[in-house]
Amino acid sequence: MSKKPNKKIRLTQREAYFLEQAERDPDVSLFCGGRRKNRLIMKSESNSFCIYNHEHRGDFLRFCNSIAKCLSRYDVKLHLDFSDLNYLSAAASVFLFAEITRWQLGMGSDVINYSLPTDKDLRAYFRLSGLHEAITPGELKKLEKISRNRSPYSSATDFDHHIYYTLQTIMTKELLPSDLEHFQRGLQEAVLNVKHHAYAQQQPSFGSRWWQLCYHDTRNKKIHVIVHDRGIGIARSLRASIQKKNSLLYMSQPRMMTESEIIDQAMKLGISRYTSNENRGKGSDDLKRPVDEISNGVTTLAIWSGKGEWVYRNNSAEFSDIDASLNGTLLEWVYKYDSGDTENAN
Amino acid sequence: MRIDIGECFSPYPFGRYSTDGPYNGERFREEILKPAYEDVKNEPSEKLTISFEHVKWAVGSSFLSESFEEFVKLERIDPAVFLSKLEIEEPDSTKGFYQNTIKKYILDQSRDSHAK
Repeated sequence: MSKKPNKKIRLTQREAYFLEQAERDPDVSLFCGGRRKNRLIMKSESNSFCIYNHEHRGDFLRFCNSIAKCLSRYDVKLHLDFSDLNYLSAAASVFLFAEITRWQLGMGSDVINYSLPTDKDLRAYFRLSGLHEAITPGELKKLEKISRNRSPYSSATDFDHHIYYTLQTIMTKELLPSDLEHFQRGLQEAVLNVKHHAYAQQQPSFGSRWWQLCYHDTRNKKIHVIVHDRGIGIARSLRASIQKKNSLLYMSQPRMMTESEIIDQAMKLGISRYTSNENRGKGSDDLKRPVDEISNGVTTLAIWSGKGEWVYRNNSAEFSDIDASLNGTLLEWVYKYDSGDTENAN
Repeated sequence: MRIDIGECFSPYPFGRYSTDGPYNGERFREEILKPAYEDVKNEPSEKLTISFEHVKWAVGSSFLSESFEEFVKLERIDPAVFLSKLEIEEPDSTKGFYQNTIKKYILDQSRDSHAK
């Protein structure tokens, strides 16, 4: 007996054509899980969305790239099926938040919808952390609302009031006042870097926007502070400045520096792309200060930008280039407190 | 002369330029720091006290650099003379951060200008 057809949805000829084209696209088909009404279902092969882990990072970024390819090439709507997802890292969640909302801002509120994971804990995380509200169909007003409501997930192009709310979110948590100051400065400078360096030009649909997460993971005694932009990346932004400042190094090593080497140089030397002004580029100290100065607990700073990965902990940096390229730059502090002292500090 | 940034400028100073926010370092330099320094520079016994007591969030490097370092550079002031006039007040919780950072930036500026 044949399945009863869904009479409610009648695709226009145009919709049907584009859906068919998208399904046949080799970049999209890998993640294509059929159709749901007039939408293409996209589903990742991996059940872990993660940027930290080499194995999962490639799958996750390919999945996000396929969303971008599908939407930029075909005029279709997407349904992201997260039902099998059972792990979502903090960094990956911000990347996903940016990926979904940038298309909502550019192509309309309901261009992407999604189904929640069936995993009970992860489903609860989506709802309780504010991620569900952050990626649900909506446009600018939705993003303004979540910022106003001091959601852990937020996004903006101007900071004054926005950053205030975010910092308030952290203030009520586990940090000592003096430690909080380091995070405040770090967050401010990360956001200023987006404003000054991240975008070569204003993006038509989302301007010089950043996406952020300030999340207190009480179960694992961690605070995540993440700032992410969809700009040109640190290497493209700073290569010329680094070369100029490091001309002697270049003469002895006549090769292109890798993206992770450029991040490392930028963080060591405090380089700005405005090479004519020596006073620029001091913010890297502010970025590193939570790692260097906070003694009550352990803080790690990690930066992913393009193909560069840079991790700073215990006054020491490790860096390497990664296989899959990440669009823009994502910077994350993870503050881990593991003693009862910090919990009781406030 | 005493300038309390939190009271006479903003409890939330932020960024370098007007594109960063209304209470940026460039504005503080031009509207507050510059005229205040003009008033004290020729008074041998007069100091310029900058207070961070009433700012409500940590002031970042960009604001401090654009205000103080850039002031010395643009006005071609001898860093040692400026530092001899300047006093910084800050809460105990900042552990001397503003004093040390501003001094460092001004001395860095001095080194950079000599190196050129």
